[in-house]
Amino acid sequence: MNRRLFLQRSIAITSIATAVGAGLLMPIKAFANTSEFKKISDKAKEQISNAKEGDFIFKAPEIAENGAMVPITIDASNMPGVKSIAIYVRKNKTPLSAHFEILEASAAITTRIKMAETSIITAVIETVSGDFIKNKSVKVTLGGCGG
Amino acid sequence: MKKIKLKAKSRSGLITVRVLIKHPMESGSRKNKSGQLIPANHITNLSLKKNNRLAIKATIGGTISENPFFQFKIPGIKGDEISFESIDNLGKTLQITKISK
Repeated sequence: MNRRLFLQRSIAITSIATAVGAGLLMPIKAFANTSEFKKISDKAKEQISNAKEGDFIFKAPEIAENGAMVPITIDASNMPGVKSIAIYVRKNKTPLSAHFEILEASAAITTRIKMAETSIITAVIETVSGDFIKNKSVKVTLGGCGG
Repeated sequence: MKKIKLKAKSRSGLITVRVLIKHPMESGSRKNKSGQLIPANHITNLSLKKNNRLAIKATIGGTISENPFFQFKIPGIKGDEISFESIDNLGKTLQITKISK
């Protein structure tokens, strides 16, 4: 290895070490957003922009009095080849609420989510023959993220 | 409240599984009264198995409600063994196994 390359690499490593020491490259544990989660979230966003409107059951209240507990039901068991179901809350800071891989199960999920404010929720159904979505607007009177 | 409760009831070849977990599900973006960020403490992954075969695998974010509730439906009959497992960002795991009614 020539001297220039050696120096470049040493400087790079030192810079990173300094940055870490200064807390600039500390993993943002506060948000617990692993790279796996981010990948799935980015994929969901992309899928939503390319997806067609689907014909499946998507239940969410029109008005959620408590944004901390919004019941969501998605039932796409009528659709063939469902691979996954995702819940995407557009206005949330972290829009992806959850992503369920349907392996040996019915494509039917019920859960409760938090919503910071009135938002459109998108149910994303990934199937072997493409992605399908359904949007529902949920009005939130009391935000569910504690301000 | 017990940390995790699971009910599995079969009907017409389909088992409805209901799970309720005691967990604060802190997203990590909430602030306490002094304006400091409350560190993230939420379930990140879960899995549901029937007779030890993976039925559902999920990636969970911090915006699932506190004390999360999930309902799943899997093909099955009375007597099938249903097991649920979850892990949070702090590495704590929860597990429960029940025989479907």
